[in-house]
Amino acid sequence: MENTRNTKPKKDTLKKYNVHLADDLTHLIPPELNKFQTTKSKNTAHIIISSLDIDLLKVELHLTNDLQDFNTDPAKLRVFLELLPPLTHNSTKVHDQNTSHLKYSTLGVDFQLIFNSSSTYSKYLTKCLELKSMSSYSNIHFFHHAKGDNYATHTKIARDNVACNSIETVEFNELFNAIKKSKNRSFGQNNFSASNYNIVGTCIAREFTLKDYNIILIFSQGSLIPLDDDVDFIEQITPFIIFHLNLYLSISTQVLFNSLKSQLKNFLIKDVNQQYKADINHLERMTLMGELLNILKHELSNPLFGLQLTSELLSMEEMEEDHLIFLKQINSSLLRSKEIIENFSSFFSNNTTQSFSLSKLIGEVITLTKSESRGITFEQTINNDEVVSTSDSFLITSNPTFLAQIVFNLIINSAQALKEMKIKSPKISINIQLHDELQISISDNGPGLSPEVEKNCFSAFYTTKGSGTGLGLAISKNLADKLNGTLSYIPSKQGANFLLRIPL
Amino acid sequence: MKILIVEDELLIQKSLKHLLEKKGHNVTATASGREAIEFILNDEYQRIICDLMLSDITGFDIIEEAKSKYSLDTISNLFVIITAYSSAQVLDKAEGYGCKIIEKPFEDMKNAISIMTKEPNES
Repeated sequence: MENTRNTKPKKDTLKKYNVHLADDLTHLIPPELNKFQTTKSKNTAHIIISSLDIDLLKVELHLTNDLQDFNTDPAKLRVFLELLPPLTHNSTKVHDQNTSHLKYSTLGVDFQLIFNSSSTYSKYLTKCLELKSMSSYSNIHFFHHAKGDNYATHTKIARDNVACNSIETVEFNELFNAIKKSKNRSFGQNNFSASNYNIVGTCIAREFTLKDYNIILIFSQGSLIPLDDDVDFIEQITPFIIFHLNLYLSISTQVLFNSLKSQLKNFLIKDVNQQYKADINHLERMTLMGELLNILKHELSNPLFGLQLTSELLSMEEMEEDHLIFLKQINSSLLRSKEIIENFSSFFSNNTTQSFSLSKLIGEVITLTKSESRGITFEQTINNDEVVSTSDSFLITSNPTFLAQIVFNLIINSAQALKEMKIKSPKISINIQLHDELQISISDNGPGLSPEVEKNCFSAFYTTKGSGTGLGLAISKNLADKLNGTLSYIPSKQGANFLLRIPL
Repeated sequence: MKILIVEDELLIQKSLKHLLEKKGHNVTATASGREAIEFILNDEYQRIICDLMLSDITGFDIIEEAKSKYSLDTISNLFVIITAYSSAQVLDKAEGYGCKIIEKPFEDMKNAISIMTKEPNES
């Protein structure tokens, strides 16, 4: 009787749904959406998608974190679009009494969905059937029963027509309970007195209890057994559909808001594929990191200044030669600390593009890495010529801070690997090609990256070092993105080899 | 010149005190804003060098308290504000008192000292 096939774990199939949903949305969202407005104030940025021709749905995404990433990465915006229920078309304007709001906030992102309920549910369901993901379904059957009524309504939605009839409450309850008791809610034709409802082939059913209504949704397809994929897809999509239907039926929505909230939360946190989750976590942590560094900068600069004042003052005193040398060392450490703080905090703020000498920048970066790279030989070439003096100019126009940070991270990584593996005559090569684009290749004669490490090396918080943060390469890749460039690992026979390419 | 330094970063406080004393000034120093208020109300200083972010109260609180004793005009000459937190709002507010503001770290030590030790009646 009942189709008792177990559903596969969700993980395997999720990605597919996301792609489906995204395609469907792209298909449904008018081109205006691409021009979503972005307004930026100091710490808050809003993406407001209000120019949708589809007035049923007005979406406001208030993204309170670092919005740059969302602006430049449509994939990240897409994950939010994927959360939206299918859109339906309706030409009436949004009126207050017919509008419902869902305000939802998670992971530092506030979004607000505004629904217009003046459209009829049948139109809405017809639209649902037009979703690409629904293409294997031929009908949606929608039953609703207002509690206390002695009849229920059955609406059969096909792509080309909508039919409506009423059924007995007893009949409705029988169906409702049968679905409720079933395990995975996939049914063969024989499950219900199918002839009554014109349900053809196998189907997936869901029942819902709302405040004033009981609702049954049945998605029926041709004659095939429903795939596990479909079961999962329906699982994901029905909360949205029900949410809409609820509005159309003008039911108090409070209860459903709460349940939808948790649905959305699950969807966002658990079910959305891991990459998006990582992105969101990454973004959150990066923001936190930026804030932390800012606080650190402020909190450290005052005591550092105190140290600087004192050491300068002491060096004016007469004292033994030895002590003067100590003071000088204290002073240079102070300057280095200040420089580090400056550098780190500037990596998280927006910097300007300017003209600067590439060879000088590389020279400065090597100096900065001195503590980690002591004893390591550096080989530098620009356009295959050996770099003898760092005063050779090679002027380029880019963002020097970003570039320096990327090169810095790569050198530090190499230097640490060389040291840890105790490589004899350790060497780091920096080969620069400067033509239409800038290519900086940084390689070493160390052990290189294992396939496992290579796969994960750009992921935030992935680290092989005992004391690492796992952010170095993730930040570097992010910075390369911001420069419209790429940072990639090029496997080679010996050692690690990273290539940074930046269009000029 | 009789100078009061209000600064809770002890190394900065002591170094400044030392520097100013070497220049022949009579310097009192405190890390506590509340103590500074007592000093100001019970004593006479020609210059008060005041940090904004103290651990108990802010430099602005001290200036507000000083208003009960001095005119606004006197205050603008009496106080020199030293601050590491130079956000636009803080600077605006500090400028509202008409005081000289020196940002930490001092870029030009000599210049900083000369602002701190400038006689109030010098134009």
